Amino acid sequence: MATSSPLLSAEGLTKRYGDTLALDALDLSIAPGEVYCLLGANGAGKSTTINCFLDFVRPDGGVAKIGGQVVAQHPLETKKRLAYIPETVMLYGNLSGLENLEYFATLATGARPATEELVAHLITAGLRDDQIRQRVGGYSKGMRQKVGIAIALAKRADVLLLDEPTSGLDPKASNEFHRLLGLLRERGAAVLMATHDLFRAKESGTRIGIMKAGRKVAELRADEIGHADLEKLYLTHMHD
Amino acid sequence: MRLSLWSFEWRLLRREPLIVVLTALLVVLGAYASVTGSRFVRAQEQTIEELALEERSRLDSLRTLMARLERGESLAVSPFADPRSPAVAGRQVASRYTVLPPGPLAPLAIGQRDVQPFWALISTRTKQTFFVNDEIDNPVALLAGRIDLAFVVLVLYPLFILALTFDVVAGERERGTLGLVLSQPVAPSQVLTTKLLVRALVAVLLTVALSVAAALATGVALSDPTVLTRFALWCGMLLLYGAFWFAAALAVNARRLSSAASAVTLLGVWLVVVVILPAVSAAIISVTYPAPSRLALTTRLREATDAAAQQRQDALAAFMAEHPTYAADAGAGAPDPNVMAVALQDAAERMMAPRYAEFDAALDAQRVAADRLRLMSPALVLQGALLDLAGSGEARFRDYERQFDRFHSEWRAFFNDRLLGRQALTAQDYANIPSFTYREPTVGALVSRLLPGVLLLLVLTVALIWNARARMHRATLA
Repeated sequence: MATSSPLLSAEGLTKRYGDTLALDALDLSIAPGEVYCLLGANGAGKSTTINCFLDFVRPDGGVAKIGGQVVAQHPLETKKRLAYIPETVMLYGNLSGLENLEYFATLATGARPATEELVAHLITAGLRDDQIRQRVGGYSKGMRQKVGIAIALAKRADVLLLDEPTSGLDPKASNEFHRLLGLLRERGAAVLMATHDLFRAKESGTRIGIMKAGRKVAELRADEIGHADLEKLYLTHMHD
Repeated sequence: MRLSLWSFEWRLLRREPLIVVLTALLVVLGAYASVTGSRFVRAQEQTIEELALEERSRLDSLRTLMARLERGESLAVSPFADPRSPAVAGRQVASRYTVLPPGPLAPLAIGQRDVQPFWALISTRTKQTFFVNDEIDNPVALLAGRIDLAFVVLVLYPLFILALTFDVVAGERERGTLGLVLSQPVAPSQVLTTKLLVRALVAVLLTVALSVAAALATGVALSDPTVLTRFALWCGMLLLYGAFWFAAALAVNARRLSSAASAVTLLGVWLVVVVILPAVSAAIISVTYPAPSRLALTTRLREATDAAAQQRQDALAAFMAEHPTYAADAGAGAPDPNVMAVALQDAAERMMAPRYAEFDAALDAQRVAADRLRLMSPALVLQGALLDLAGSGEARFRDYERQFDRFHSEWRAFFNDRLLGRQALTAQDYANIPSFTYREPTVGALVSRLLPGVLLLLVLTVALIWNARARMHRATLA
């Protein structure tokens, strides 16, 4: 079952902040080519989950694993294969998109990649030729997310951690983003995406998990449920 | 990889408007300080030249007069200006200037040199009356001290470093770039260290370059190997001081503070290190080791001179006992007034000897305490080191006073021996009148003075870096 051996997994992941349980024994398992969408209200633990995979947060119990390696024990190795796209990809405003990519690709791969290669990634990610050398200070949010995608491409990341990457994007930009996500998924990436967008979760996701107060309260395959039913299910869980 | 990170950080830094403003500020103040420094030194050198000129023309005319007298020309010479009399020559007419020239790097650091005397006219009289500093200067400027390069370096250089480094982590966290950086497979300590190092290094290199430019512009004799060594040590001290401030910024950046909190913390550290601790140290010294009063000493000396004059016979008897060869030839009549004057002076000096010793001991104790208290603050360490290296420090002045004392003894011996030998001065004697040249301390002596401060800076730097390393985890930074 080589194909289903998970790239991303959480086993009993628990995180406590004082008296509140941010994560309560969360189990997750995401295989290559899967897009796992985490739904849930603000504070449900979606971001904390992603931060555990990034080693930004050290879990109090359980483990987060990437490619079978425990994140907290191998932070540098696990980071080599992941790409992180937060709600807004914040870049260095005084540098151009290309220069930003150059920096992050250098950090990611340990060597400075060829400029043509980086330009190609930016074009693949959907930036126009004339935008590439403009300072990022003038970039729209959509353009920043594209640089984020280009970083993932340059890094050849097979694990994507996305924290509400399309909130605040206009529908066209959001559509474009998800098209790119599909591209990465087809290349065999495992994607974990926290989102509030039920429509996109259903459209782009392969599996959907609903979180509440640090627990996973439902998990289903995206193709097994319609839009209306997903919304109903989500609201049912949010109400009680 | 490492090199790419460095060049990227440099690229990032270059595009910040702040660096341009700071560099301009540093350069303008550095230029102003260099002008102040070189003007001050030039004024002193001019005075010294005039003194030398006066001395040469006076001694030349004395030599001419001696030659004419020795040729047997009959000239009317007042007994109070007779160059043949050892007493007259040694007391006044053949006096020489003993000069403490500006130090090798004096244009870069003036220190207290504007309030300390830098020359004295030697004489067989008691030395306490020699040191004068009757240069006319603006008292406000004297009180505040001049803005020299050492001051700019001491105060602004750390601010420069801190302005570039205080919010490297907090700023990136607040602008959101930190998350993306730390999601890459690099140790946070490496990223943080590179960012801070590049910034600190820019400040260090700029300050060193400013020193080099100032040294060249103000005519510091860098071609002289000992001067060059001093200048190299100067630059080394700048590097160490910069390293300390880099480490302080690193330690603060490694904490999870907002940029505002980082700024306040580091400004607080700057205030304590650069302003408060030096003030506290000065207060401690003035309370526990107050400067002995020269005025009181002079008053005491006057009293002693009066006392000696009232007991002329005792003074003379003591003198004769000390100089039996002279006494053997002395007749019963009234003694030579010049010899009497020496006898009275000796008597007064004998009474004063313990007072002088006390005075010197108090000054030395103050200096030792000041040297120890330097270790209270890195800023005091740097200030002391720069002044010592420049040759404007307290230690050099005390050294000059000591060399002056030895020269004074030599001078008195030269003239009094001839007075007591009842010899008139000859043209040959005029060629051999002792002269004074200040001997600079060796580089080795300087280095050993710098050593405790260097050690302190190293220990503090290592401790701060150690402290920062322990906190530079991803979890605490992201």
